[in-house]
Amino acid sequence: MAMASSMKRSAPRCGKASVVARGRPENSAKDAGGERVRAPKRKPTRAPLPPPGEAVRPSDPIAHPPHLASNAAAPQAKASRSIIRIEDLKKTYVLGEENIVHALDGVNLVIEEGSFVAIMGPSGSGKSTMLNILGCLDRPTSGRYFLGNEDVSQMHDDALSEVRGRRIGFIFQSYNLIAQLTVIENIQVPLFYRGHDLKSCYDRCVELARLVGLGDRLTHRPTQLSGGQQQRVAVARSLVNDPLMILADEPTGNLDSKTGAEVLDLISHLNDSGKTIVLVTHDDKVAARAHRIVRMKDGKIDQDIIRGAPSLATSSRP
Amino acid sequence: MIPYQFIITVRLGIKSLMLHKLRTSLTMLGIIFGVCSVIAMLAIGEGASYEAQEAIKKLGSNNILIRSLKPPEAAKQQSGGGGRGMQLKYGLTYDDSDRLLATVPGVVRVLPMRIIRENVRFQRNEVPCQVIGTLPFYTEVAGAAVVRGRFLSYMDELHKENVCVITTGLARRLFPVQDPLQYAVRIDAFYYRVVGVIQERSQPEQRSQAGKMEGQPLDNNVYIPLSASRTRFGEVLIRRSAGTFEAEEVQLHQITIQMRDAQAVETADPQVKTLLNHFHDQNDYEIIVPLQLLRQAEQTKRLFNIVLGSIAAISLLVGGIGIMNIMLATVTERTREIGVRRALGAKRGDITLQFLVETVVLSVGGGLIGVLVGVIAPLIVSQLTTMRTIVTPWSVILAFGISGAIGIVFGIYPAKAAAELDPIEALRHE
Repeated sequence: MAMASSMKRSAPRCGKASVVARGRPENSAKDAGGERVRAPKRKPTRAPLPPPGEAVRPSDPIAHPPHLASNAAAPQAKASRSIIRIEDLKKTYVLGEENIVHALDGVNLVIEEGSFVAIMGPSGSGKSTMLNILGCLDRPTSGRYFLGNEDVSQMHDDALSEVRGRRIGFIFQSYNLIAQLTVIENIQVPLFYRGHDLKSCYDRCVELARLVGLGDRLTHRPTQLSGGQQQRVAVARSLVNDPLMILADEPTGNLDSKTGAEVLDLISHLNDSGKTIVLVTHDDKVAARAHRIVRMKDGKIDQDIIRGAPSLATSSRP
Repeated sequence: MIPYQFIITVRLGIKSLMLHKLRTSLTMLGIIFGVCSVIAMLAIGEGASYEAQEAIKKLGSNNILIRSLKPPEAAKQQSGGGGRGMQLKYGLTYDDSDRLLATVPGVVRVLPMRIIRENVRFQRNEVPCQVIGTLPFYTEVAGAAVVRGRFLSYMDELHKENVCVITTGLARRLFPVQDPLQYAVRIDAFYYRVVGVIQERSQPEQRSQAGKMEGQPLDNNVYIPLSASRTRFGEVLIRRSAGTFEAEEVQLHQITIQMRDAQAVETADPQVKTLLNHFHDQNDYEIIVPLQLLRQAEQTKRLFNIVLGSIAAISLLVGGIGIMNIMLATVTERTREIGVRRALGAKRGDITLQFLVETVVLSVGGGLIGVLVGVIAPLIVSQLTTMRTIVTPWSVILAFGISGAIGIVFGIYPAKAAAELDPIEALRHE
C-alpha cells in the first residue's frame, strides 16, 4: 500500500496542540528550519483533535525563539521527521529593468511528516510560486529547499523531474488526467517515468483505484467520468509512487461542494493513514480540514496556525 | 530506455494518433504519396531502361552493325524528279564486307546480310516478311537458337539452294497446324524448302527495336542463303509505289562485324569509319555500336532516375513538412498534457522521445502503406498500358528509409519544442 512507508513513527506523544512562531526572513533560517520541534503529538490511540483555531499569534521569533523550543527533542528524530525544510527562500522575477517582482521574499518553513498543511493567501501573495517551488517545478532564486534529506533548490532539470516523480504526488484543480489513457493507465503514468515494469505494478494500481472507489472503472477514459471521479483518479495517481508528500492545488476548485467534500474526505483519510498533505486553497472550508494553515502575504509567511496534530495513525489503519 | 518502455511509448504514440484519425490519415497521405511515387517512378524508369537495354543487347554487345542507308540528298532527288527510269545506287557492297574482314584488327567474323521485304506464302497464308540473305554463321553472330531442323549450311550457300529457315513466330503464322519442315514456302516466284526453325535472341513479345524496322514485326524473318538471295532477287530492287517505280541497287543491307571482345569494339569503331569513308562518296551507311548505345542508355537511365527520384523526393519533403506542421499543432494542443507528464516525473528526454516516436510512427506507417501502394501501382500501370515496370528492392528500401528519416528529421523540432516547454507554463496552458 502507498501509505505503508509513512507509518514508521511510533513514539507516543501528548495530544496538545500549540502554535509555534514562524521565522521572518531575517531570522536565522537554519535554526528555524532544522531545530524546531513541534509540540502537536498524540497517542497512537487517536485522541480526538483539539478544537481548531485554538490560538493564533503573529510571528514573533524574538519572543518565541525557535531554538529554545527545540531543546526537548533529539536532532536525529527531527531529521527523519521534517520532510520539507525551506530556508530563506527567495524568488525574484525580473520583468524589466526597474520592474523586479519579489514573489517570495525570504520564506522559512518546516513541514513534518504526516502533517496536513493548507497554504492560503490572496492572489499575488506568492502562493503559486510557493506551490511551484514546493512541487519542484521551479527553482528558487536563492535560499535552500530540502525535500526529504535532499537539497533540491539548485538541482538541474532532469534531476528535478526525477524528484517530482519519486517524492511528490500532484493533485491539480482541473484533474489533469491524460485524455487518451484509461483510468488505470493514468494511475500508472508516474510509475512509467520511474522506469517500473507496469505489469508487475498492475495489481498495486488496481488496489489504488479501488481505494478511491473506482475499482470498477479501470478501463474508462477520463471523459467518461464525472469531475469527482476524475479527481479521485488523480488522487490515486498521486499515491502510486508512494511519495513523501502530496501537493494539492485547489483540489476542490472545479467540484461542487458535495463531491468536493468527498474528495477532501479522501485526502483527509490519506492524511489519517500517515501521508503528508500540502494543500493550496482559497477556500476557508477546505483549509479547515488541515491541521496547520500557512497564510501568505506579499511573498512572506504572514501567519502560521497550528490547530491539530499531524496524524500518527499507526494503530488506526484499517 | 529499456525496450519495454519503448514499446509502451510506441503504443502511446499510436493511441494519441488514433485520437485524431482524420488528421492522422491526411498527414500520412503526404508520406504515402511520396513513398509511393518514389517507388512507382523508379519502377517505370527502370522498366523503360530495361527495355532499351534488352533491345540493344539483342544486337550483341561485341558487335558493330553497319546498315545501308538511302542517302538523304539522293532520296530528295529521286522523289523530286519523279524517279522514272532512275536507278539509285547506294549502300554497302560485298567489297566492303571483304575489306572489313581483311583490315580491321580483332574481327572474328563479318556477316553480310541482304534484307528484302517480300510476302511469304504457304497455301493460303501470306505474311509480309523480311527475307534475309545471309551466311551460315548468322546464328552465332546474332545469337539465335535453332529450335528445329538446322540453319543454313555452307553447301546451301555454295549451291544457291532454295532452302530457308524461318523464325518461330512466322512458323506459327504460316503453319498453324502443319509441320513446317515438311513443306516449302513461296517467296516471290520461287519455292524454298523449310529446313529449320530458329528462335531469335530477343523474346517474341519484344515490341520495338531500338533501330528502325519501320513497323515490321521483328519476328517475321525468313533466312535464305546469301548466294540464293543474290541470284533470285538480283541486285536491283524495284518497288512500285503510287504510280511510280523506284529502282534501287543495293548489294548489302547490313554488315554485322563480330569483334573479339568489348575492347576490340572500342578500337575498331574509328577504323571502320575511316575505312568505309574512304570507299563511299556519299553518306549511305550508318554505324551502330551497341556497346556505345548501351552505355548511353545506362547514362540516360541514371539521369532519368535522378530526375524522377528528385521529383518524388520533393513530394516526400512536402509530406515531411506536413508532418512537422501537424506535430507542432499537436504540441500546442497537448501543452497541458506535456505539463502534467513533466509534473509526474517525465524528463525532457521522455517528452522528446514521446513526440519523436509519434512522428516516426506517423511517417513509418505512411511509409509502409506507401510501399504497398508503390509496389501495386506499377503492376496496374503495366497491366493497363504496354509500359514495362520493374520494382527494384533498393527503391523500396530507399523510399522506406527516406520516410523513416523524414519522421526523425521533421519530428525533432516539434519534439524538442515540446520538451523545452516550462512545466509551470504548460500546466497553466488552457
